Amino acid sequence: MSKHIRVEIDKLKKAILTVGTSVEESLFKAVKSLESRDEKLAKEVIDGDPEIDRMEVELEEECLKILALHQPVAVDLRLIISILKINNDLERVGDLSVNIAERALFLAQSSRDKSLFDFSEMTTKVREMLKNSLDALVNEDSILAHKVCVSDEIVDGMNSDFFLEIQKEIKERPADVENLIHQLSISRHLERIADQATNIAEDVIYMIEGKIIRHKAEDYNENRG
Amino acid sequence: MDFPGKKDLLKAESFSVFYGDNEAVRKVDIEIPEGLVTAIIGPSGCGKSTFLRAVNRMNDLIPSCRAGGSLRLDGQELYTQGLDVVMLRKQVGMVFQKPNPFPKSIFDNIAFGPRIHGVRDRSKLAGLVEKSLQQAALWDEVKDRLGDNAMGLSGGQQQRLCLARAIAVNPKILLMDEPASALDPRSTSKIEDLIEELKGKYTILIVTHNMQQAARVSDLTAFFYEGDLIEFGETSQIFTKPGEKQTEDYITGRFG
Repeated sequence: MSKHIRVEIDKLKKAILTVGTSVEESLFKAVKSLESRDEKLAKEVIDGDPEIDRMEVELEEECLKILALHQPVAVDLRLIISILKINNDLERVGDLSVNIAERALFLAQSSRDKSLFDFSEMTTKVREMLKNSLDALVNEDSILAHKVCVSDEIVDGMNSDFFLEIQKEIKERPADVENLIHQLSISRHLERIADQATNIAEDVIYMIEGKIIRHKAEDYNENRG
Repeated sequence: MDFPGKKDLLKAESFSVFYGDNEAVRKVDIEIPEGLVTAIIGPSGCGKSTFLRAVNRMNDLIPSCRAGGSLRLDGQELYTQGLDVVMLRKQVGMVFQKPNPFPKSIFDNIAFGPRIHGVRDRSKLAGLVEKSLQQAALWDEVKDRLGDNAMGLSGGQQQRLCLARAIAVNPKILLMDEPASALDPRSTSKIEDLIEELKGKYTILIVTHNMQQAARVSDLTAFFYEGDLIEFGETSQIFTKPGEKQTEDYITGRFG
């Protein structure tokens, strides 16, 4: 019984990492396609999403199977519940990467001559958060997970700054409104990805500490190390 | 542990049980509140059954066995000279792993305890028998054949009969030692339902190897290992977030 569940859990851990890697790659390509106005790369992100969706469904079914067949408790139960939720969050990051790629595609096709805002600082931060949330999962590192939670505020701040800047631009150059709205959406999608990375980090903390810290900002700052 | 509105019915303080030189239960401190279901879990030889049996002094039957420290039921010290063991066992009902009805009629099985304790009135006995069988959810199945020999009942029915027999003397605490391990899943489920029904009316202390059963039926769980009480807490907490590494290793099957 114990041996069986160990084997199943090892498989789950590998599977969630595969989903994580694919989603990280998808986000990387989406961001790059935006920066380099690379239509082909943007399309790759869009075309790759069904595979991420398929992996998500498969992993969820595996989790449900283990719950039904092995009735795990304690740390095993928390791990499986966390993986179920993280799986969901990752799939959502995949969707948001597709959204960014769609915006990138538009901007590459119709606004090739127009300059873009510099999202590089925000994309670097968001990718780092996603990476850290997955590293925290792999290494069962709750201190790193707490750090991810704290970073969310920084990205929220960046999104607010873009909102104000883009609002100003729209007033100054109303003819470019479509282009600017697409750029505003990119900032918004990146901010959502940071939220998902934060959710993943919160689930990692639950898995390790058995403590649900969602909706409690004060807990973020504990162990920020 | 503190349970508002619940008094501690069974209280062990530095309580030990020895078989010869072997300390099978080692200086256990535990307070078991009234009206709740407490499960004792742990690997074979951890002292859980020994602890359970200490409550009605069944270990007295083993010549090399002796106890140390204090064990009190409702304030009464159990390991003291001159304690009336018959009166103690009126207060402590016990259900064993294998159903063990007396080779007598169904009626006489249930009436046995009350008769020993002086109930002679025929209609009073009949009332007690009906009430006990009702509480054990067996009445409807046997009411037309109370004179039949109890050995003719199925295993699951026999176990419920033993439960009815235990509660017929209105004990303060019910001890159950693996009460469903010899039963099929359907009869097991009936016993588990009964534990839920009897909760509140009785304080129940149950030893079980089936961890999922402990999780399902109990309010509190005590984990014993090698004679020590490792952890005692709310069942919902023990099975989601145990405080001790040893508890976690045991309930997740990582032991040994």
